[in-house]
Amino acid sequence: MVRNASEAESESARVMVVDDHPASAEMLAEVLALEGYAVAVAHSGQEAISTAREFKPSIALLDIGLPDMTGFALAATFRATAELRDVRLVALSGYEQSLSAQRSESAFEHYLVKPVEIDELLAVLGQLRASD
Amino acid sequence: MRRVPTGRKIEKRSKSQPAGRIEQLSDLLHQLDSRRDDERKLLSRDLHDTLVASLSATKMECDYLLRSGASAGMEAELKRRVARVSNSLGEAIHYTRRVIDQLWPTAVDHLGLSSALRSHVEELRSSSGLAVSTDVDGELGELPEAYSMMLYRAGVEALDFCARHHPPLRPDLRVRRTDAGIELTIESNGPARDDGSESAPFDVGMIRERALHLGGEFALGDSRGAQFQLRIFLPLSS
Repeated sequence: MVRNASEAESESARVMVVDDHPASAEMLAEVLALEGYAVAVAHSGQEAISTAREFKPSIALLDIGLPDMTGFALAATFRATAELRDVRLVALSGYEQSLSAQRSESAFEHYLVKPVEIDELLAVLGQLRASD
Repeated sequence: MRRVPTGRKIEKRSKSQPAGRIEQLSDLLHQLDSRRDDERKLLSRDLHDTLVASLSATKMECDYLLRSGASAGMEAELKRRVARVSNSLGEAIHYTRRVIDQLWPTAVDHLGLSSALRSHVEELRSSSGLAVSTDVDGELGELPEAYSMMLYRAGVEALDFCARHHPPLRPDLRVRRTDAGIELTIESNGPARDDGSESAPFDVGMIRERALHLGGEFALGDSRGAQFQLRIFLPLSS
């Protein structure tokens, strides 16, 4: 699902939320839309890949525990796909230690523990946009 | 070279022997264990996908309400109460995750055996100050779920024992994959247990049964603490 981007939005403000739980994904999407981001939502790894090809996000928030593949495998797929290679990736997980265990080996630039602190999320997105 | 704990025989179940009473009981135990695991896994996924996800979404709603413009018109008392609800939700999420992890360690599903073990080690280091050295192959490759879970649970049980020990042990955790199979060893040369207990360090019965049922080898060294050693080897067909 893609939420309409306002006309003023720049390329760097396109965020895709990938989370298999509808309420969590919707909540995140709503918060980001209210903050002025154009947002797309996907609930599985496969859906994320096809949505990303269409929506062309600049940033993707990937849940680690997806039903059809892990967020780490999805991140690796993004990196291996020419048209998705440049998407900035942020990992979301309920397992803080799990994230830290993978830090050195993954394609993620940031790691957020769920439930995500909104201020922290917005700070990370701001940081990624600033470094574009 | 494989290190084997000394002074203990390596237990291994021969498949060439005809199935006797013990093997039949072992098969039955394995079936029950496997059925129980299926139920635990289902329950843990249900809890994660429904309760934790809903609590998380609700907590985010509260947090956003507090930080957004809507809270500007809120009375201080109402704000305080919403903040309290948010904190309670955070605690409920934390507690539910602990229950989920006890039911079924989803970290193994999501991250694989080596990362899940390293993750547990990190947690023990920060929560109990356990001094543990790790030598875990980063690339263990594809493993059957029963293998990963068996080795993870054995590793967690043994490491938790080392953390509970008085004085705490300083274990070395090693996981290696070879052409023949996968081997987990946990060894400690820490000081002897100061309560004089000689009982098994943790409930090794089920771990031993699982290892043998998978055609593996199981060896538990001195359990009094001075020379704690656990070795499990599970064969992998090429």
